Amino acid sequence: MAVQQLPAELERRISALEKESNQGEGFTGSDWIWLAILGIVGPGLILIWGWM
Amino acid sequence: MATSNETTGVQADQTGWPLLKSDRKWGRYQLFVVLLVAAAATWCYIIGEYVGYYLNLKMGFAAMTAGSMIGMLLVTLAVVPTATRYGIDSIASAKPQFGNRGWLITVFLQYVSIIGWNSLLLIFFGKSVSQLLTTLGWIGEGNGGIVVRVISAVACVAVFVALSKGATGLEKVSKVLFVFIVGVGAWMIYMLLANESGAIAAAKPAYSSGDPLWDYTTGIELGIVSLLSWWPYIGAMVRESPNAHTATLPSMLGMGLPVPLLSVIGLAAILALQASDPSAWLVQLGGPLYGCIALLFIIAANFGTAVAGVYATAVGLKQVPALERASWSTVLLLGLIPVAVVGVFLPDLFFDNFGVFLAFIGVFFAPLCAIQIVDFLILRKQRINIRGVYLEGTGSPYQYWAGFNPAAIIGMAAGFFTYLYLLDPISYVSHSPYQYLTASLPTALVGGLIYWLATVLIVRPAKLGDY
Repeated sequence: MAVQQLPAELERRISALEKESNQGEGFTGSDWIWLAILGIVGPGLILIWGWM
Repeated sequence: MATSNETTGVQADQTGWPLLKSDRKWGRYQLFVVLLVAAAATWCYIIGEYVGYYLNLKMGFAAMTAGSMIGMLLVTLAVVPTATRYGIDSIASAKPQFGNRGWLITVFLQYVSIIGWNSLLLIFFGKSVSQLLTTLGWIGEGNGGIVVRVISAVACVAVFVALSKGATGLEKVSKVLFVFIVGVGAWMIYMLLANESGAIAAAKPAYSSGDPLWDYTTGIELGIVSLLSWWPYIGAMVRESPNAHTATLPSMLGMGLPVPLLSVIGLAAILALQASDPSAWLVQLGGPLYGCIALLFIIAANFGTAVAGVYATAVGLKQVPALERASWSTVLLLGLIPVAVVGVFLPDLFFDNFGVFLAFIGVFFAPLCAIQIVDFLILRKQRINIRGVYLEGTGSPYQYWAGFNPAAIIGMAAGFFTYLYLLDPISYVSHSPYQYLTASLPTALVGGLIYWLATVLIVRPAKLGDY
């Protein structure tokens, strides 16, 4: 791989983020449920109501 | 005096470098407020106006709300997981899919779309000021054009001043505007429904096609594409929160829901009063005082959104190699000068082609969101090479072929042609199965599927892309 010098502060940030513990966690189970309710089920119900 | 950590945090804030957990201090409420203020702008009235051309109040509200929430889901799934895991914005989050040169395509899309939205906001603002001054008799009918141009230029200067300190300015502005925007928005809905409910109920949409299903689907499509245009905005804001859990509900409810709720003002107004601009119809309902309140609302709502948009553009532009060393003020100006040019020289031409602009959003952002969803959530199992995002040249993780990932290019092209087949963005002539599926959703599906196939069949076997 070509060696590329990154700015020191950027290098510090990347090194920190390469450790899993320093990364933000992904969606939780409840997040997926909310996403399904607000993005799929809810719109479906609203569309049925609007059409009736 | 600023501490060393604060200084480096501000530096990252203004460079597009990843934010560490220690920098990411926005909780749910803070993020909700910032996203709501970013979403709540007078484009909602124009979106409502367009939906009101095809649908009555009930169907229009249902179609806009459903479409908006579906669009917001696509954007949330595309950007939030990557942005909150690594503290990066929408543009950086697209590098693993597009390659370390191909990502400039997303910079271009962000630049054009945010400039477009900001131009629309500031021209709307200028038109509202002009309308009110004419109503009050302070200027003559013929001077409105000059007022629009002057106000657009002044607003650009105000945005520049607010953002000269980075996201700190964004958050402070949002806090001030939040209560005002929510309160006056609710009052406007009440005023319309209380005074014009009969006219709204009896109103017939002006451009109904005669096919209720086509009209309904077009309302949904307008909702989806309007919210897809949050793609360029959202990353720069959700990266300030520590994880995806903190950002999920603010994203869906703070950025997704205000658009249909405010758009209903434009929808009801166009149906009942044939004008979506509140500074025009509130004068009809309650005289100049109400018109002034509406104008203050427009100033507050549009200013907050313009500030968020220019901030997101500046963060995106800072990552372009040629602008890496440019000052924060320079990139702010690069985001603002084109807006000022449109606002001063081409206000009517741009304002009258809003529908074409919306379709442009759907054509490009639907496949873009799908590609990111497929790549990050399915192919990469929610991990990217964060170092690779900032490395360039031969052998770097996202070099692909000459810096471009053909899977993303093919996926975008497939989505582009799918959209064009289903719905002509200029004439709005459609082909089946548009009336059953919309144009954006099949476009996203095709774009994502082609990307997945090309990655599995071509890119991964070539051992490129750090899969």
